[in-house]
Amino acid sequence: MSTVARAHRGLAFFFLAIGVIAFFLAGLGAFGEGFDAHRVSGSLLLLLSLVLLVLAAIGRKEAVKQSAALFALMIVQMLLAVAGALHLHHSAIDADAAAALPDGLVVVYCWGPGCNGAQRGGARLAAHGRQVKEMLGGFEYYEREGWPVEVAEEAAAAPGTVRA
Amino acid sequence: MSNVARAHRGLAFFFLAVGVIAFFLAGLGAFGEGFDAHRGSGSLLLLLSHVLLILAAVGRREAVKQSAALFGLMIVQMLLAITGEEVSSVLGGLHPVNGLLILFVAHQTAQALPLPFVGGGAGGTRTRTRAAV
Repeated sequence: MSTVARAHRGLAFFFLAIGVIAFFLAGLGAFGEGFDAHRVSGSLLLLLSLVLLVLAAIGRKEAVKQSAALFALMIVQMLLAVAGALHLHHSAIDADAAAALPDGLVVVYCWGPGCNGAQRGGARLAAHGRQVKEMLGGFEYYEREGWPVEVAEEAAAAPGTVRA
Repeated sequence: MSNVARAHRGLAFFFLAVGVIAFFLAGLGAFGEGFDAHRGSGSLLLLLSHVLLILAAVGRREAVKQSAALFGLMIVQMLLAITGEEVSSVLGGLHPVNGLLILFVAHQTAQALPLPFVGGGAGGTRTRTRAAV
């Protein structure tokens, strides 16, 4: 096995280890520590998958297909994560996050069985001095009542995919 | 293969499918949809793992160890979810990692394949395979 092939193999195992750590970091995020570290691990994995593809193309031809698939899946993974959403767990709403929102009244909403995300987030924002109101019924019932919504350009181009 | 063994195998694959769905539901929760559905899937998986252990003990002896490990990991999984909320988020961080392990053990359970981290048949099988190579 050539040096490049050995490097590819070692880096692939390193990728695997970072992947498991990324799961751990996602768990930390879900339990209130925020997803910043998980995002960083995701960026590192994307970079590693690119390096793996290059190394495979240079010196481990039998692993080129797998490396290309890995790189493509990492691209998909990043796209799935950033598709228009900014996730911020309510416990991660600090003074900086509260101040970063546009000036004025903040309207919070959620809608689902047992969902209290809006109340929790609203309480955190209020604790940091923001004026907060809750929209009962969430976006679903706001839209059902016929109130106006702004639609993103790409959503407007694809009827049926309305985005607030 | 007896009817009980076939039922165990089928249920283990069903467990695997529900496990993958549980990951999807956790992703939904992380992106703001709430974790209620994920919790529901977790309760179902705990119940399934218990049934799998019973079925293995009754009619698929070669999968008893794997089924017991799966049930044990499901108990740990529930404890990690609870303590992650109430004790330390580090324990919560281990929740999805343990979830990966659960999917792997579920696969081994369905196929009645040895567990590499459990002594006895697993280690012996691997050693024999490598020695043959």
